Amino acid sequence: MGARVSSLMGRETGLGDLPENCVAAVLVHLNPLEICRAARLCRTFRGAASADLVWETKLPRNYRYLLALVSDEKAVEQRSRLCKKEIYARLCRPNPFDGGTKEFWLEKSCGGLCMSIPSRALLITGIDDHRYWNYIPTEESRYHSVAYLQQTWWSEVDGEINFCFPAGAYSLFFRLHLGIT
Amino acid sequence: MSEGTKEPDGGEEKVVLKTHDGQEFTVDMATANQSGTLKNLLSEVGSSSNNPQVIPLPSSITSRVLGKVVEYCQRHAAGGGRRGGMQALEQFDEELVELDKDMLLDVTYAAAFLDVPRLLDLTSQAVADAIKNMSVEEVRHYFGVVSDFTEEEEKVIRSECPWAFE
Repeated sequence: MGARVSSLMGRETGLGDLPENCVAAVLVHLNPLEICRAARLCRTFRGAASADLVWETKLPRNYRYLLALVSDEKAVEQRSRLCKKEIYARLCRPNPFDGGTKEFWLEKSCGGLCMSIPSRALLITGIDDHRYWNYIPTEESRYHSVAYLQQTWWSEVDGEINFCFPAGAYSLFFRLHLGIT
Repeated sequence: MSEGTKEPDGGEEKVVLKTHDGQEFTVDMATANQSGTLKNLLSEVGSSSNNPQVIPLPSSITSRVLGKVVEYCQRHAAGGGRRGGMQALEQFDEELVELDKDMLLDVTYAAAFLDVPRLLDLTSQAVADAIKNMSVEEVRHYFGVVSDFTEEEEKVIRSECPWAFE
């Protein structure tokens, strides 16, 4: 029957004795990883840690749009059967989109949207001039190929993305690697 | 939220909340209406000053716990327009949930039972803050949670959410 903690009043209520709706109210204030950990406490916590009303608060506002982009999902019907927690887990995986040329995923501890665009999906001026540029295969990249720059005194890289990002502040990084290891 | 509702002049309508340990709390309607549960109940049965409704509460809500809830509801029935405005109200909220762990759980339970959403939010935030940086074992020890899983369930649970623990 869960926990027993005696108080001065002779009444006995422990954290595990709280009803599931109280536990869900607590879990809403935790991040997704902490919720998954709390599910290991006892049955009430496990139940609440799967509740849609808890995970709804963790999903990006436009999760339906993101889910629709997930290309390995065959049937829409199948998608609609996923509970909110499963949707969160699904969106945390690297999800290829735009014909597999790019990937997006959620940062699993906070639900923030991340995206990666490979060099092949960017416009690199002079990429076909092999005096300067080459594509070389590598296992270090998730796309198994990188644009290798032999020599240059200037370069120009352009990119465009059409995507509904949830509102927020984002950082943009270019991933560069000096030399071949 | 029914914050800002006007207090009945001269406290015409009253309601008596009676705990299992025999204590009675007489509150005005604006205070009682902070609780969704009481509001619903009173909208059906009504109450007056001559003959106030006496509402008995379950044994899990002791007089000490109800005292806290009533304190919260009275302050919020008055809203931010009194005693230093919203800032003072926020400070009041912060201090209200500085409770020992048993009391914190009891007030959480009472806030859910009486349906006082913002109070439930405050106490559950405090509980969440307490368990946030603890391991499963530490939480069990600190809050006295006994695992009610069978051995097989324990095994299954350990393999659940692999994405969260990678």
